[in-house]
Amino acid sequence: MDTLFGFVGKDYVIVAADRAAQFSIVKLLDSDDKITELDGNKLLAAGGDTADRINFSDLMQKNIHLYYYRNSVKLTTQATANFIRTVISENLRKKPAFADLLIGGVDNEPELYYLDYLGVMQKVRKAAHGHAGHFLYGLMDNWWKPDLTLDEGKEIVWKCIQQVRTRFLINQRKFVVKVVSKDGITLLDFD
Amino acid sequence: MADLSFLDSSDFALPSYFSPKEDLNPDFSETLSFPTPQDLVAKGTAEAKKLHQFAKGTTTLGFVFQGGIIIAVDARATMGSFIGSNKVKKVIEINDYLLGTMAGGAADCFYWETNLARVCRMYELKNGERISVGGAAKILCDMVGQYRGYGLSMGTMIAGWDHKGPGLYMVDDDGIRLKGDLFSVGSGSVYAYGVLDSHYRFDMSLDEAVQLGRRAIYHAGHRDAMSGGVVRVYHVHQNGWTNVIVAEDINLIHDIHEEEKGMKNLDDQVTFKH
Repeated sequence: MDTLFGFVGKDYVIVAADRAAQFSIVKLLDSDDKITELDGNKLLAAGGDTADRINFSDLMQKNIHLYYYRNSVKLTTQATANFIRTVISENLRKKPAFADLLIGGVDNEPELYYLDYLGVMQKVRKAAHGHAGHFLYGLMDNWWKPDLTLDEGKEIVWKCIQQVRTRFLINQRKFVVKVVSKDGITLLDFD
Repeated sequence: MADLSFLDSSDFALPSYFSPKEDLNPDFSETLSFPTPQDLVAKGTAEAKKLHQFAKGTTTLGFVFQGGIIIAVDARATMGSFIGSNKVKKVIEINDYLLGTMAGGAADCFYWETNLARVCRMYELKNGERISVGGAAKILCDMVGQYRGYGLSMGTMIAGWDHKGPGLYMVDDDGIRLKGDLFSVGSGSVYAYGVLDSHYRFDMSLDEAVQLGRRAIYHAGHRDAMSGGVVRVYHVHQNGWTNVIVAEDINLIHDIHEEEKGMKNLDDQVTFKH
């Protein structure tokens, strides 16, 4: 089960995902990137069924690009999250996709949206998906405070990764961590 | 008045890790009135499984190294506990520069990969250039992805050499399409992974790589009941593909392996006094 987590800081949103591509009991890839970059200033992290999460995030990325080509203006983070949620709920009773999502972006304020495979959406300050996510809620609630600097945020991410490595039964050592701010998206190195 | 009882949905299933009795308030009486995604796929697959008794009874593997790609497969076809054949060809030669492996339903793999060959040829004629490996894998993935939940059984690797160099993709009937350097698919894949992960290095020579593929298939064929027969090894390189080992009997490899380790007749219970 994929582990995703993220939280907002002072002027950035940080999102992390584990790197294992799962296929029954086999780890097919150790280097999968589950965080798709929409539009250059928004992140979409997807977890759940391997086929569904890859296909769904690709589909959303292309649709966001299409909006830009048609209208010459980028969607806001809130509009993006609502658009994706509408797609999920319209397909829910027709052709549902098992993909849990986290959407992060910075327009004026940093925004993080929790989006479920059932179409549950909520704007949050911190969120996690997956079995390992249960271990992280308490941790993030404990250490998070408003207006975190980037260094403080990195500390919290590092604590979360160590917690998953220590307590989660399934081996998830490697994580990909991305930060989105007004300047764009940066990839952080956590080993 | 028409009978509208068909509108009452009676299916309700939750993801396997969520159990309402433990997790929800006992007074919570609202339930979902529609089946969840896993339920739909599971229902479709379960129904389809009654028609086709497939498990992906085979071992196929592929890896990328400095000299290109090695594809190694076994050759056993089983129907339940009956061995249909020990000499099946599980590598489908899509065209001169693309190979596809077969794991799962033989008919499904053969049909869709041959269909892929037709589509790749049409692409070449329409666009005047060869299709990329990733593109071919994507076409195959989308073709079978449309039939998701209908009981197709296909776990294949598409290997080829295009303008970006060697490309190895794993495509599954679930709609999974992953690019990687090392894959093994089938019931014997778990055994093959152990051998592959121990000896794999990117900078192997061609000979070492061929021997690694051959050895991993041998170990999988030895331990997995649904894999065996002969080993076939292919090498994909810049100029296309070569069939390096056409057919080498796994039982013979076992004898050689035992002799090398000095284990011949080790467990022999027979004592013979002259």
